[in-house]
Amino acid sequence: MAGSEAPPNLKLLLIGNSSVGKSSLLMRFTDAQFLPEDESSATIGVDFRVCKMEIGGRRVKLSIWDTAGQERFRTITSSYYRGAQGIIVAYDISNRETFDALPRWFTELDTYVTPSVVKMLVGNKLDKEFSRAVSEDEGRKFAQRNGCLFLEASAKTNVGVREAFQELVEKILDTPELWAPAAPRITSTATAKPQQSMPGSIDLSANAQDNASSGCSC
Amino acid sequence: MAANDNSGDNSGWDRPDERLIADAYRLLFGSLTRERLRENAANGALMPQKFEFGAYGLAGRSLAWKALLMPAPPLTTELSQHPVPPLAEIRRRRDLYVDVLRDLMQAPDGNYEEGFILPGHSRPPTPALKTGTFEKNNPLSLDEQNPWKQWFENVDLRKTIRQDVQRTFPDLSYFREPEVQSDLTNILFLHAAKHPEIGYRQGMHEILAAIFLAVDYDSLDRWTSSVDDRDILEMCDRTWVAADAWSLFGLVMNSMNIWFEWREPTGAPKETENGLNPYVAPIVTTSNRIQNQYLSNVDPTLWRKMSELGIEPQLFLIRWLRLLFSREFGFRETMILWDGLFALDPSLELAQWICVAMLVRIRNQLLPSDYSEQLTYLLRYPAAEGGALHVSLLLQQAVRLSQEPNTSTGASIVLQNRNLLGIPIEVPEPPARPTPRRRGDRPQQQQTSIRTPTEKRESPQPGFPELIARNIIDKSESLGINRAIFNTVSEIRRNWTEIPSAFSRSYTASSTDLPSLSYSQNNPSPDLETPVWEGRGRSDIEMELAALRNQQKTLAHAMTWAVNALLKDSDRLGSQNREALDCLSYARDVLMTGNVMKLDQDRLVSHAAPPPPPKEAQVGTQIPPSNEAPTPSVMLSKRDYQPPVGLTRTPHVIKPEVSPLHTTPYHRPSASSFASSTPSQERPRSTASSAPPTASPRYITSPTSPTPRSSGLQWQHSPPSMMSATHRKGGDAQHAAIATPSTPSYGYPPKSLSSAGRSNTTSTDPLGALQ
Repeated sequence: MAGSEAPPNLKLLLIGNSSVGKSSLLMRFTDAQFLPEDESSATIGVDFRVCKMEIGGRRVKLSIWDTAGQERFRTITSSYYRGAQGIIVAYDISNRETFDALPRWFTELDTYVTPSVVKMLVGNKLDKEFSRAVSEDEGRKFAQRNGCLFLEASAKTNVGVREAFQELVEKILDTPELWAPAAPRITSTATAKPQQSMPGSIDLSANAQDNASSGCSC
Repeated sequence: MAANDNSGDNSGWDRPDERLIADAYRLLFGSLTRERLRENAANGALMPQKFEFGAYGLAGRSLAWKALLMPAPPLTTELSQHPVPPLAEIRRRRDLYVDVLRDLMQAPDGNYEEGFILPGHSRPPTPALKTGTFEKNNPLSLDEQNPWKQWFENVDLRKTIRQDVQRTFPDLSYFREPEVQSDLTNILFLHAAKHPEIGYRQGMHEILAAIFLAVDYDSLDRWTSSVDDRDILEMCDRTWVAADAWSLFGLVMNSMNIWFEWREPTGAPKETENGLNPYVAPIVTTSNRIQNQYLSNVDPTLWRKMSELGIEPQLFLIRWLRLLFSREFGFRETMILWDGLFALDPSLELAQWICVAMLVRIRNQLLPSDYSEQLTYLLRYPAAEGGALHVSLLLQQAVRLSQEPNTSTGASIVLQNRNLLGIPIEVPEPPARPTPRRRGDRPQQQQTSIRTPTEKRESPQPGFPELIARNIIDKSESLGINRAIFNTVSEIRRNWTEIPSAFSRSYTASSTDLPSLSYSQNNPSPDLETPVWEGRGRSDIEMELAALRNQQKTLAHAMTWAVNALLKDSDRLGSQNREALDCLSYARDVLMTGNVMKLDQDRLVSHAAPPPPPKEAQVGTQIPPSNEAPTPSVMLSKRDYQPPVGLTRTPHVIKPEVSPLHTTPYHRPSASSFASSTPSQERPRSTASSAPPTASPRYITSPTSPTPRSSGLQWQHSPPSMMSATHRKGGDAQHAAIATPSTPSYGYPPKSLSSAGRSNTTSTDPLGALQ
């Protein structure tokens, strides 16, 4: 484990309107689980998960922050964004409002993160195709205009979730200036110097988690 | 209005039996004193066990909340010892609810949503066109004054609220009922509309939901109920579940609104780069205070670690505070916590200290962790084991912390967690990896795996005070007094590790419902034998030393009393007993002076051949079986004890149900007693320690109640503040217990019932505001 090259620690952030399924995407990805809409309670403040992933033979550790969607609730926005390398902006393809709110989210993004941070737009609830309110094309075009990746997904039916995270992480790995400065840590002691370990960065090298069923550990 | 009485179908929830609700009402507004109500709530037992029903229900909970949170009727507050049913206030608020609802649910064209009926009414309200000309008042008007503009905003607001209401407490089927969801939405909407500066925020819905459920549980159908007491029917009228829930929610939110407050930072967002917003939300200020001020004063080690890792307190405290811990504990435990919180401090300031106590409790998990592990623990608070005890202990620790926010209190809480919950003092070395948990699951595993070490530790050797006690017994003749001596000393020994029984339910007649309370009785004082401070940080050691010093002084004081008590009979004592007494006195002096480096062994052993220990004495030494409440019983000689009126047989089993609340301040030895002390790094067990404690535990004292609540227990010799006496439910004489000369255990001194010559002054009382 303590090889010469420690896996980079990446901080990802999930944002988007309330009830678009941010927590569900995360739970599907990390726990391979899905709870029906009325069975998952609203996120208050922030939730946080760590997992690891292997991409192209390369291990990365992810800490994923799942934020509360309610706009006026975002009391501590800057804490969330600090040190993030990748952002997933989610909307609900069956709810036009959540798509129409995207410009506001991107305004916030521009405020808090540097342009090199990788962004990914995810249209969730693909399982609700029958009540689709935002076409795939619209979504893709919006993503292109804002220079971000795009995917439609369903946390419920497990479509596109893993791909979304994988694409995002691949793109981050292709952008070394995002993570390279934090990378050259070798040991995994809990007493790493605070300056070196940026809040939000994670280190799971000491003890690998066995979670075969989960989407995020391979 | 709310949910129908559909206990028959599979809706998954039932209301308690009507008679139980009526009983709860009579208990709350008849037999219980206010003070006792608060005490019970703080002890995690708002109502006796028989009122529990289902997995998390408690009949009478909402009635108690009404009594605790609503302003008492005028002129009764000071005079009445008993809570007065706030019927007038409730009536007023119900009327208000109807008015507000009628106003806010009416569209600008005067119509109401189809099927909308006001509570207490049988027909829909009559539509009536509101003011305004057609130019202004029509949905398409662009006039700024157009009431439709506000209306459409409200429709949006209701939609936002409904979105959260629909997923409130997903585990509880009660909240899937459409009527319930509709009421919850209405109430949240009314609250948001009446508090535009705050509006609706996620989190409020869960606070309201829990209140609503409690009110609905205690509701009676006025038309079919067999209860014939009109006051009960009015108070519990099902028609008004929503109105009463709205009232209680409003009262709770009065204290919580500040945690939800947020406004758009003024100026363009670009100007506030790097998070240097000119406006800091109060919740962020509060969070910072909790971690960087409160926690750093109480547990600097933990605070330093968290700060080094860069944990921002608001990340987890926003949720802890805004939901009043409902995601951190199971529903039942959360309700128990709320009971106590509402009882102790309706301003909810105490919640901040609960956060501190919660952090201290999981310090063993936090300290060895790295950033992401810490955050995981903080956002998935390790599951509570021990249920009611777990949370009510937090409450009491919070009270102590709020009064004495220093490392000494912090250390004593760590000790207490060890003794009562089995959480080791030692911080585990290997970083325990939190396993990823499925969302919605209650964390379970980690804590048990981390917690094992101390339990394994055995304690074959008796501790120091007990050695003395054995000695005394060994050489004593079987005078009746032997047992008293022995028990006193074994009591002291027990107290050395804090009597867990000092914290106990003071209400229910049987303690079997809370087996965890007797827990550490089976595990006597491992800390006496093992120097636990090896290999640990200096500040940890200092914290512990301070706590031990405090305890030692307490013990010295207890010994003083014991010796004095025994000396009264000294003329009757045989020589061996004199020797024993001498030995005890010496031990007292050692403890008292605190700087004896070498013990005079001669003074601790007998010179006579020890006779076999009298059987009688052994009785008292037995550790009670696990499921019984601890019984450090001490018989006082008859002339010391005067039976209360109506008490025919001599009570002999003492269950020290000492409540942490409502105690008289512990009589501390004067500072000069310790003046000669010198700092020492000696093991505090045998010799002694040093400077006066950094802080002495100050105790909460009941704000009111000059009246003794006992059934007339009286002491002829009122021993100096060492007596503890307790009584059972409602001061029932049959259960009246004799006081044990128990040492005030750490933080929970025995409460004194004697009204004579005991001052009840000098107490800091954060609860005073209550009444």
